[in-house]
Amino acid sequence: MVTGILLNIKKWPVTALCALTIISCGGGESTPYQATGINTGSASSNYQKEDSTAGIPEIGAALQQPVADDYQAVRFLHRASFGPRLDDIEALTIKGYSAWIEEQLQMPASFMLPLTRQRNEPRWLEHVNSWFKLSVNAPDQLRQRVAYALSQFFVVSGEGELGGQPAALANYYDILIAHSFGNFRDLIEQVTLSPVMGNYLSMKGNQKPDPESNIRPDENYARELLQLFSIGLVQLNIDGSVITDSDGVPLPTYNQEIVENFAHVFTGWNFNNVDDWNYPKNEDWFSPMQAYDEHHDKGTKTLLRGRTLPPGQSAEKDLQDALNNIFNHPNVGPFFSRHLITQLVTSNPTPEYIERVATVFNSDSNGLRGNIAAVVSAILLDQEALNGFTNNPQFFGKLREPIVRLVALWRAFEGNPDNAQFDYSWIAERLSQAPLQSPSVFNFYSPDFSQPGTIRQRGMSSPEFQIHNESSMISITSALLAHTIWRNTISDSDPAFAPVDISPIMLRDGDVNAQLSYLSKLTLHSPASDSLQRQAHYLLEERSQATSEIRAEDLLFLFVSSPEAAVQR
Amino acid sequence: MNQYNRRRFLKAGCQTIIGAGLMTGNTAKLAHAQGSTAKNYAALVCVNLDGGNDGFNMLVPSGGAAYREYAQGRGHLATGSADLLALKPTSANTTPVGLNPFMGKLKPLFENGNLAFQSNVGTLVEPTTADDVRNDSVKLPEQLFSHNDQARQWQKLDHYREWNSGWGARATDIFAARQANPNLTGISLTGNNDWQAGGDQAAFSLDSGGVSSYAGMDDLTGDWQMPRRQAFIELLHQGYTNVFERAYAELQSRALVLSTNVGAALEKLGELQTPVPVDNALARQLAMVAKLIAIKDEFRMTRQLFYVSLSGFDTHDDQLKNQPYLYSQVAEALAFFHQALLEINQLDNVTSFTTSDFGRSVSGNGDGTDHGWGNHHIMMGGSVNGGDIYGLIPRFAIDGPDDYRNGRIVPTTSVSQYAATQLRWLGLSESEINSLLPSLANFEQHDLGYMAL
Repeated sequence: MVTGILLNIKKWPVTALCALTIISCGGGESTPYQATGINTGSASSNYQKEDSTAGIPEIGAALQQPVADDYQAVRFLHRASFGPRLDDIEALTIKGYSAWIEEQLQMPASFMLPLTRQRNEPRWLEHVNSWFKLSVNAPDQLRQRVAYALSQFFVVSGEGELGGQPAALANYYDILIAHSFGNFRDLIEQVTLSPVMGNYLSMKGNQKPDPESNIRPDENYARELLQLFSIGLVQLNIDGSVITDSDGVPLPTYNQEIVENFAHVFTGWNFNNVDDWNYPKNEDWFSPMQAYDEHHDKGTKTLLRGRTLPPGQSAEKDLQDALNNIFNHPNVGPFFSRHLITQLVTSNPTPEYIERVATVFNSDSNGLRGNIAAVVSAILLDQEALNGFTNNPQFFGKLREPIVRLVALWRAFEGNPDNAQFDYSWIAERLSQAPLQSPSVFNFYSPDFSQPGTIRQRGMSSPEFQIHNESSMISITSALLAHTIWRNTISDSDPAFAPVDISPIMLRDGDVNAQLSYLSKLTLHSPASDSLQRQAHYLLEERSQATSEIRAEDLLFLFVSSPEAAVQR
Repeated sequence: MNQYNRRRFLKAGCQTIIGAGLMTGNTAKLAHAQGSTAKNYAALVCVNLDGGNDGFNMLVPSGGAAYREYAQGRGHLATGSADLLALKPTSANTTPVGLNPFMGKLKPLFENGNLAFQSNVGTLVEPTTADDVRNDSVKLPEQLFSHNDQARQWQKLDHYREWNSGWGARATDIFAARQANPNLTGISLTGNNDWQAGGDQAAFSLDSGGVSSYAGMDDLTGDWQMPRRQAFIELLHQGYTNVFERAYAELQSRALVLSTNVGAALEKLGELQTPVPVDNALARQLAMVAKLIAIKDEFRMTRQLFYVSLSGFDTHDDQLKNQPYLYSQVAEALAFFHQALLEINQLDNVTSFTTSDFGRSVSGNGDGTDHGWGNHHIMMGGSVNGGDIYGLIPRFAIDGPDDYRNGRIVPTTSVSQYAATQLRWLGLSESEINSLLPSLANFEQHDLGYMAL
């Protein structure tokens, strides 16, 4: 693995291939995108900082002004980071949104593999531990938040045999981090060639047909790349609405035959430099997969929208052409934009919001397609994101994910961030989810899950509710209690378990308003509701004979377990 | 108010809130409404094999031309004919098949009449043959071969998008109205699922470990945790205007019900005598189902619909290694559940049936199989007309008379027929079934005959 990093060999002249390809399957309006090429070695070692601010649409003067209200800053930080710290709030109120985003785009990237390798022998689920360290502490919060959203789009999972490969999973996550502000075309190429993805969706080792034995290429990756990672099942308008036939039946984006053709495209790939195709003893989990032309199907392939690949092309050429074909499909903009909006901002964006963002995906201010930094910026600075809280108080927002609530808690009440080993034992059982541990390629929840009751009656989506049920509510609430009341810096908790620091709450003991305001900014989206204030006063009175530590613990738990803390708005 | 009285007040306050959804004992008698049939109790257990179980390796033609077609299609992934366990179905008019050796634990259940198979069932809009597909002369299900779409069509049977709900949920809604405790009508052992999603009466979720309690708030005897618990509960009953906050508070309230009332009843029950197989997640879920059935009288339940699920069936890869394990897990879990139902004397009242995304392609991809269509399924219980194989065993020839494309077998029985047969046994009327399963009208046979009514 180390040699891979040192060699840093360009495996093939990708850029040249792309330039040629795009002439034949160009996307029309937008500028062709040139892929950056493949290196061996880990994502973090190959990373070169891109100019993330290039192509970002001009920002209105209002967004360059300081942010007037602390809680506006808090709500913005819930979308653009893993949750506010007091100094984040202060910095944002002074800088304003656009300067804050620009600063984040320019920050160097923090990676996960180095954290995972702090131990010589990474333990089972070490990647989960490093994910918490990274997400809690990394200064490049916007990049980290976007990478996490990408990990719920390009899903791989350590549930199953990849659980034994924590460093490889960390490197996969680093691919997402490296491309969070990059181009979508590069990202799908790096994801496609990752041996982790190759293992997860069985493209690694996929070989050309053997008609005599009735063996056809494996369709797993081809199908999910189309269905989940790029265009989806049905044709979309640019605002994300579904295109139907005259009977109202959605028009599919592809059929089984197309899936089989893409399955033929993705034949002939395996670990970099293997000694044996079927049973490789040297498994390079850190370099992109390599093409082995003798295992590649050389036939004609029919792709999306009637494009065909001529016979006799190499595995690399077929792959580049096929990824261009997918990348230039009109669905990608609305499909990917909707995912990022629902991850970062709100579960039910209007079609107009999706259209504004998808338009930026299709063409940034330089006319380039697929600029993720420009898309992220457009999502966060959209009027619907910034004004939803005021204009649409009943329906705007989303349920926060359990692990995001925990990261936010650890960020806001930092106990011992540098040395902490985050407590990840039985995390999926306790929190209904864990990073890079989805139960399947369909992520923790479905984008259209709708919680029974008003949400469902109104035809709204509430994806995150899918992992919340009677059973998980108990375990999530119990975890929040454990990490506030039991595991704080005062209650003699083991520093290895990332205890939260409750001393700032204790410092404000006796000044109820100061305590409530402090807790509201760090745990809620707006000042505590009247009822939460009432219950806080009730608890303080009940605990009036107890220590300031007890009062601080109980207040903190009351806040983080309250329904108003569970929702991002 | 002194400490003692205040505590009593708080406890009573909590119980009123917590107990709002549940009635027990005498209160429940008043609400004990008329059942629709003579059965005092009946339960369906949906056993979902997540990812697309390869049913065509579970039941395999046991010889002759039929086996040769299968073996040729499957290549090195084929089960050897000598390894198959012979089955002697009551009606001998279908292609002879054997059971996969790793499902041996199901053989005695088949032989003693408590288990049957439904052959080649799948999502269909109307009766369909491979020729119909080639001639484009029938309406096909949308998004064939896609995991979540096919799994949803199986679990929802909502062809005209009338409800976007599962057929389990729609049946639950009908039965819930007749229960003393409606919110225990549908119960899931694996959280939210498509079969039980979308009804008015949401399914209750608990996990196979039973009901856990709220850490730091579960001591109802002492004074210390009471204010914390009280404040926590009070916040669930505020008028939240934001729909997400309201839904969160409502769900938390339901969780409190679970943690107290159901938890207490389970604790009182204790453990089953039948040993639960170790390292078998499906068996653990079914053990909890058996325990919940054992406490049904506590809550005066007359009809219940349970959902359990095991994942890992998407065997694109390493099928030869993974499939024996998966098959043994399923067989072991079902055989255990049969014993557990015997123990609690509920064998005739409980019917289990399998569902899955789709069957798998007859042809292979080297070391696994891909997404198919038709599939074999298992029905188990004392009321199943067991020891038989229902429906037609298809021809497995690639591009043969039953092949859609590259070894994806066109189903000969629709999921709506499969579901209708179970729902009739559960006690729904013909008209209720017809309104619940819209595409059933396109098929002649509404009862596949595998249930003793």
